[in-house]
Amino acid sequence: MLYNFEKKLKKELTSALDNEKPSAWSNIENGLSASIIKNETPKDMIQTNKERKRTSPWILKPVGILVMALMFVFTSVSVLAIASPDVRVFLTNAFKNNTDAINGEFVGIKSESSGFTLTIDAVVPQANSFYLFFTLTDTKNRLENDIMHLQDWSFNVDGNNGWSAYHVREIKNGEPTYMVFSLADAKKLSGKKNIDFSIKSLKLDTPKRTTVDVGLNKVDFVPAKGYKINKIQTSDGYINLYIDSDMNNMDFIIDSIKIINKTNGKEYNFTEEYASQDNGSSIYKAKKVSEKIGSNIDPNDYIIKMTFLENAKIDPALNVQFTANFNNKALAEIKPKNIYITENYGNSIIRSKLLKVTANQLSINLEFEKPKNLPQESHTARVGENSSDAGKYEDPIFASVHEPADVQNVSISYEDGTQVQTALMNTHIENSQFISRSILLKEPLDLSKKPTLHIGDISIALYK
Amino acid sequence: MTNQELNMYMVEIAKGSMPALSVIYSEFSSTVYGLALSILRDKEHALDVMQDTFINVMTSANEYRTDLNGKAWLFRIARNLAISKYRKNRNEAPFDTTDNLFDIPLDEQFLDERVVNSVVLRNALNHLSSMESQIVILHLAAGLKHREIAKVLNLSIGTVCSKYFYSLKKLRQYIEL
Repeated sequence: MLYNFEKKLKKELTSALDNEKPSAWSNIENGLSASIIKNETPKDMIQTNKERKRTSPWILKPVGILVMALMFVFTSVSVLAIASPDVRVFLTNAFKNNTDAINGEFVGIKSESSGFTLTIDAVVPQANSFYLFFTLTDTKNRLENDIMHLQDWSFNVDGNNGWSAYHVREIKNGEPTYMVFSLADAKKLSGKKNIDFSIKSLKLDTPKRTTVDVGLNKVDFVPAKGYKINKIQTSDGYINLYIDSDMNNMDFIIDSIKIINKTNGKEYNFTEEYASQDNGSSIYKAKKVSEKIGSNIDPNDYIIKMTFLENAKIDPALNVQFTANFNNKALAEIKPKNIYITENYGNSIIRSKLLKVTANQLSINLEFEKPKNLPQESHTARVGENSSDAGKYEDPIFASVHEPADVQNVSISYEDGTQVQTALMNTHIENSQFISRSILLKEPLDLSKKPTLHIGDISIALYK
Repeated sequence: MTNQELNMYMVEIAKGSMPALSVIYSEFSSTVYGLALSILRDKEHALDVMQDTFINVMTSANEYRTDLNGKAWLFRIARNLAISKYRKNRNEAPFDTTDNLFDIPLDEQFLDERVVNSVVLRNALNHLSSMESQIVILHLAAGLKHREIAKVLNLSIGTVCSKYFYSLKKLRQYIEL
């Protein structure tokens, strides 16, 4: 829901700023000295661009102890065989800019009801929130654009159900996604937790669209079951809409309401001025006010277009209950001595001392001393630049997973020679003293099998 | 417009090309105006800042570094000018560029339709703090990544992300789209 709202808000804000902004170009031209102005069209842009392309990739080279490794920041997540491989995409997206310890569990349990299947893929706690990775499938394929929204749900951890939730991606039919459940006063989330997640109804992308002619001023008009338009009123350049919603008796949920000029097609949005509920009643009474349309509104020129999405009740509710054991203490913490990583950076060589390696439930975190001669913009701008998908990591939320070819330079193996699967994460955080990087695992780290981290030719035991 | 494209135009602007400046103006003036409005809450002052920003872009183009983030540079100019103007209007001390805590109390923020006609924009500016509305405008209207916004506002990425999603949740209570 938030994602849809975000998309619409982006469109509205962009358009509003374009409309609101006064023209100032002539003032700018006048404000600039004629002596510095040459009216030439920009040229040779491609050549200029090429000249400015970086010529030196971000490559690590050995200095001190001979180390040949590319330093990217990785976050690694362990994935049990039961979890969908695609979940890693979402885990990586969710935590790619996080170099804190990442702990969590892969779940892989299902619930089926009313033609829907809910699969819980993984759960990861953060400071005061849970990331829940799940897949929701409409087995009857009734969706128009394959999108669903949670309508009536509950999330309960050890009896506490006061969680708020948001998701940054659409819930698409059959695709893994994740939501963040947060609690303002949650204590540090660790140890064994009993989690209960239920979905009682969903808003489905099966739109029902209704138009109402403002000029007819329909009273007691029912645009969809559970709704009643009481009054449409023009007032001082605005159009007011009075609408009742019966919360116990609706098969559809309002998705959007717009006023459209029948002649030029211009659209105006509504904002809700108030909504109230009488005691003991399931009916909400709302007044919605349009954007300013003009000083003299002819109602006959306008229609109201309402879009509703189907409210799918799930009976019995989709319900999953599971226990997850989160360990927010590091499994192991190693402070290596005299290990340095160096890298070419343009014409400079950057040398960083590896200060600490921390093995967590779902990540390995590396902490480096920050080099004193680190250029401005430093590594952040260079992330991914060495791969064919340079720049793919720019967006912290919507970027897709990609494993640069140099992943083999960082690996983890057990004493018996088997490899721990890792997923690269190009992320790092800098503060004034340290650079932190982390590695996500694709399978749980088993300390009893004596794992060893390899960076180029360097090997660091992750067990004591 | 990507940062690389911006770099190309800045090279031309440094040579004094007004057409190149006009391209930058067309691309970014709306969001520069929105950013200034979110700080100053006055359309005349926001217009002044928008003008000064592009004059500044032209006059400082020689100092522009293509290895830095061009959009962050542009919006930082606009923000610094807006904060300086805000403080000047209030006879406060000049703007210190290391000040990353600049925000305006909510009770100073109300805008009516004489200043902003769009209900959506007005709601966004009236219900969010100055810092929150800057983040929303820079991400949604200017298309800056959270990482780039963190550079403009001197905040951590985590702070930008959390303020951004908190702002969206808050706006959803007031704006129906």
